[in-house]
Amino acid sequence: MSMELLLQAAVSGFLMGGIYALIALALALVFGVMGVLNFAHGDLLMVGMYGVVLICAATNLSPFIAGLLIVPAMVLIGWVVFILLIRPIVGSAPLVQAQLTIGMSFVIQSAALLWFGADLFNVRSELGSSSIRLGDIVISAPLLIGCLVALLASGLLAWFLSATIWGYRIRATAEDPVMAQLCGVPVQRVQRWVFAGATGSLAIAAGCLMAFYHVTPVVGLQFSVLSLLIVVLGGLGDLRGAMVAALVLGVAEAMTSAIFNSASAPAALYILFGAALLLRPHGLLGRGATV
Amino acid sequence: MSGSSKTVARPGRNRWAPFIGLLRSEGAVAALLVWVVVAITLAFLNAYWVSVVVMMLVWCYLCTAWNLIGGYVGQVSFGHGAFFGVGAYGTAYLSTTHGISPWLSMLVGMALSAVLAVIAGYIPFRRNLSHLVFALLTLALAYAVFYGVSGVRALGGTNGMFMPLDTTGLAAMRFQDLWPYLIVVAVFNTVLLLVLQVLLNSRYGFIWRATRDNEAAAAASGINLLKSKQLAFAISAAATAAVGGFYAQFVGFIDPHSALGVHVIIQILLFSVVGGTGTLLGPVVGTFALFPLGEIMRVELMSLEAGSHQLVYGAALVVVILLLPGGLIGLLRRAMGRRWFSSFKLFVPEGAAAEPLPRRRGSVAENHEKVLVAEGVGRDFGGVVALRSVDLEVRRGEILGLIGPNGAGKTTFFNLLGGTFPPSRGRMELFGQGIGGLAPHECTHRGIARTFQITQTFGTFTVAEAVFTAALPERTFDEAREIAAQVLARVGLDVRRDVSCAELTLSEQRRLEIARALATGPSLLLLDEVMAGLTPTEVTSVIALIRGLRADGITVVIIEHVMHAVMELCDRIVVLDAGEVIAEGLPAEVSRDHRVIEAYLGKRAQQVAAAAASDNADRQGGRADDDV
Amino acid sequence: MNKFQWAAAGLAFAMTPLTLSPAQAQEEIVIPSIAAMSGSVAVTGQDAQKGVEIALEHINADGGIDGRPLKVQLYDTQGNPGVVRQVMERLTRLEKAPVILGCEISAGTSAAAQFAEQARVPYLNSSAVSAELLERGYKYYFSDQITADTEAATVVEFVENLMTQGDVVPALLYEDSPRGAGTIERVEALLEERGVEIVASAPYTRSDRNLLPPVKRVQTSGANVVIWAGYTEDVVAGLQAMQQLDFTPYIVGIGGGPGDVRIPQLVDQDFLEAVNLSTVDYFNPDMERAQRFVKSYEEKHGIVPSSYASMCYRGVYTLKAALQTALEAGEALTAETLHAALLEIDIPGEDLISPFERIKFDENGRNVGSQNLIAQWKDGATKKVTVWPPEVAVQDPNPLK
Repeated sequence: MSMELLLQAAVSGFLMGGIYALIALALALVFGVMGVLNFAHGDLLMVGMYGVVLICAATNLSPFIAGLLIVPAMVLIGWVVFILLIRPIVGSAPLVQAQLTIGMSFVIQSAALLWFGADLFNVRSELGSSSIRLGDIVISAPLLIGCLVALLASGLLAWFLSATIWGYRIRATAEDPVMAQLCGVPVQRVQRWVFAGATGSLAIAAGCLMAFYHVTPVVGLQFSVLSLLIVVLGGLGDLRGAMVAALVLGVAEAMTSAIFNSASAPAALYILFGAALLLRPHGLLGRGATV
Repeated sequence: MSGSSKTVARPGRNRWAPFIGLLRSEGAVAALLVWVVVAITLAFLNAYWVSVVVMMLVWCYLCTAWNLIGGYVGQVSFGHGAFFGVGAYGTAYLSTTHGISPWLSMLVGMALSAVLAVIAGYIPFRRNLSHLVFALLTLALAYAVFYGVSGVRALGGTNGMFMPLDTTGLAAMRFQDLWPYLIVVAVFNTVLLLVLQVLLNSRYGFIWRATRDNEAAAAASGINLLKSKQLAFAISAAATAAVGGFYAQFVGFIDPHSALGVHVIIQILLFSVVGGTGTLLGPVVGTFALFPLGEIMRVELMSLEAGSHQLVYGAALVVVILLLPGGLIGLLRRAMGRRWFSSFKLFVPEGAAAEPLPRRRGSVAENHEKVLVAEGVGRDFGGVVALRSVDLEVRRGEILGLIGPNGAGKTTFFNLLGGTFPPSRGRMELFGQGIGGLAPHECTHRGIARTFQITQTFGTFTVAEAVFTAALPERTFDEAREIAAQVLARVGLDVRRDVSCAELTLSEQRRLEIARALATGPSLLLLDEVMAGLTPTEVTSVIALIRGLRADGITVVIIEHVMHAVMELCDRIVVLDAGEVIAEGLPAEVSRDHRVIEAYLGKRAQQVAAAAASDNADRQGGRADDDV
Repeated sequence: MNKFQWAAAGLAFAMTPLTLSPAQAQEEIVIPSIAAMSGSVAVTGQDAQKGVEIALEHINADGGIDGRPLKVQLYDTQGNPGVVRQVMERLTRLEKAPVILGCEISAGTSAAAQFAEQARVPYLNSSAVSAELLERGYKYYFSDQITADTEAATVVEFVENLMTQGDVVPALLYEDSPRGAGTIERVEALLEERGVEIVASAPYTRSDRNLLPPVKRVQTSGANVVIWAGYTEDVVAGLQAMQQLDFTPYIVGIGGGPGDVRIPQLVDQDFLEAVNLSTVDYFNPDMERAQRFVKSYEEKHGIVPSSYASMCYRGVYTLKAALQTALEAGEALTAETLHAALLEIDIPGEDLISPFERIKFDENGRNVGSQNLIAQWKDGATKKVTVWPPEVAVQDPNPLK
């Protein structure tokens, strides 16, 4: 195992982590504001990925632009999903929430299978095959741009939350919905917009992913599990923690696979997750909620 | 099975009563349901459906086992796929390589699963982390085992393992015919259901339900939350592993995807939630309704495009959850009335004499003059200092009032004494022994009992059950029963004993708080605003109650804002402000102390008071931040 | 009625459509087949269905089996062994199927074979490449498919041919599921036997999103020939990684991934030619003997058939041969007669769409005539050409640079 390979894995993993961050941020925000852990998160992302594929096939645009173009559609999907499915379970037992969102994931997955078939789709572009070399380290260009776009989107989100009036309202709702309601924050509206907005931000993530990845009806589950792990590792409700956790997880994922070189390698990632929680039970930054 | 079928387990009347109660319990009804299905299957259904029913009963068993931790203790485990797989792989490995009977190798799988459960549960249970952390940790466990097994050559790696075909018979758990499989899996279900019913009727049932309903109240009742959860999780995991062994024998081939895949837990959750968790019948009904339905849809919709049946299934699931939040069993109960399912009813003797209340056995040095000594006790939360430094003493047999403005740190101090969190600094001694950093249940066992400012109730318990549960830790069932009877009589909740805790009035809830604290047999009772919001008559009766407790030799510390009650009741008063003791003394002295008035009313009020009393006020001691 | 009667009545009502066997159409011979038509490997079942449909069209257009039309009823198993167990129970005990055709993935095939052996009903596998199953000595398991052994032998022959053109430095890159890992292991053993040193062995899992690290590992080992087993998704990702790394080895692929006909739609065609993407396969649409199948398939579905579709097509023909043998002997179609018939059949290679010498089963159910081919993308990756073995080759393989 050479240093160079490890470094290569770390760099690739870090860039991947940047995209995970955007995906997980949307989940963390939804969890923070309405207390719903959405197991269909990855499936909503998958819907976005198919959207990007359709746009790219029709127009030959870059997947990043396509991702931007489908933001309104994804916001609308998020809006409808919230009204029909999420609103009734806000405040329900976690088990009911988990189950409902898993059912939703079934529906989205099977619908995708019916619609697109089980074949995989990707977006082919010049960019997809280009790379940047830094000494011995090769950086995949689409991954790098994807990571930058995702980090930029995350930054915008952070700015929005900390500097705008709606950002204050969202944070107030996350802090204490009852208190926020009493202070005149339209909690229901905030929740609706946050869910729609989070779903919309998945469109950007979908664009970043499709620059180098593919989509099949079953990719959703992996992304759901991954973002759940990130949200817990970051500390529940801690957005900055989720960002850090995403990068850490991305690097850890690539490193374990590079180091162990065996079918068991992914097991190491999950054991690491457990160990990390042992040391930092309230998230990497130690600021997560207790209950 | 109609009419009143409430089972009452009365000790001493009939030693068989518990068993008769068991026969009429929900677990027995569920087991009966299993056998009815088995009988119908064998009598009317073809071989294909027999095999479907065998698989259905495997799922039924899995859901029932999961329900112990997920439904009764309320901790949603995503790791049961791992336990199922460990059972399946344990059996497969030992029977193929060493020729060990699956019945024996099943035990190995069970033990291994229990150990895995204890390891996975340790962090979240020990640190009392969110349910979601537990859920995700167990999910990580499932994935770790899945990938781990995939890379182990001796276990067939991703290729999977075959069961030996050569031997059949009961010892090999492998049969030529189909029906013995059905019988074996039905027996598995029956044993599990009855064992769980017995456990749920025992002390553990009360402890687990209390843990689920309200962790703070359960810990204050002296329940070791870690042990309670770990025990349930380990039992649930071991039970799950057992049926894994059966599954391996039945299918004849296992691979990581089928035995350890994430679909295992998704199915379990699905059936359990749709059936209704936290009841023994729920997961059984859920599986019996959904599994055949899924099978029918899979077959009927097969001719349609691939994926259609999953689409319909998922949509149906979403609709059921939205329309039936309590699951099928909730619907069934509403439709047929509660009398159909008799739940175990606790017997607590009525009309107990108001004898001196019980004390905790082996309480340390009762004759120690100083019950509690705190020296420089403080607590910070991040950068916020909640309690700066508190020195105080509580003497034997006294009623000490702890007063101070909101935010002074009174409840924080109680939380330190009760073990909710450890102090950041300082020493706390109970009867000369250090208690800093003990867990809540340990504090309870040492003889400290507390009530909560915001009342903490067990939502699914009756009043009698709640008090009984608080008396249960470290005592026998019968002792706890007697204590519960005495305490109920003492606090005047005797007539409300069978009412659900959730239905009590505010004043009754406060009495229940006191009752729960008393049932633990405390030497030191911490009462946190038990009179807030009560009518004057109610306040008077609570005062009488507290006096009576002191007469029984219980030392009392009260936090209270009802000033006339404090003045009337307390022997001594300690005043806390901004995390420090600012005054201490007899009620009359304290009420004249200028610093106290200042702390409560601000500096200007204090000036007015000072002027009025022509007192020699020390203005330099005033606190700027309280100056309005 | 009490609760249980209601429940029983409900259950019975719900199951009426299933307890009645489908009415037997006159003369029609109905044989069941299992495939994963939903779930995560649904793509295999969908291809299987297409292959089976066309085989039936052809057979029935040619007069069926002794004048009787043939129907193959597909049953979905999701590729899940537990469901396979249930479906097999239905097929053997309820439908009393005399033989079952398997278009199932590996895990499902393992469970089905185990069950068929116990139920003593012949199971004709046309899809799974598992050699392990054949080594178990089952009497009722027949596989007209190639095995990992044949595949590995062909790969090594091909690599040896490359060695005549220059220095070959081979490395292994594989997705660690049974499909790939099984063949790779045998390739490893065969190369070792021949004293060829393997410079790198890089497994990865299907869920790895980023194949730069394993591909780079192979690149840094200095390999110029990469023997690569994988699925479409990881092969696409891996090829992209190679492109980014400027790594252009000679690729000898194994399994559905490198052989996927949609690869040129998913990856830059020039690059496919640069790496001489070749795959060991049991089908290639340019083979003369497969033309009828390929034309019908293209007409119906607009694309050339995948290997998965072809083997199910072939499986139906093997089935037809066995049914015909039994019927011609004047026997009823039972598990026993078909078991005997399967042992008896001997289909010559020219009647097959596969590159086989023939289909003839030994007592372990192994097809002694199975043989692989190697196909290579040529002409700007516009067509996949059969290049090996010389007997069926349409063109010569690209030379080693």
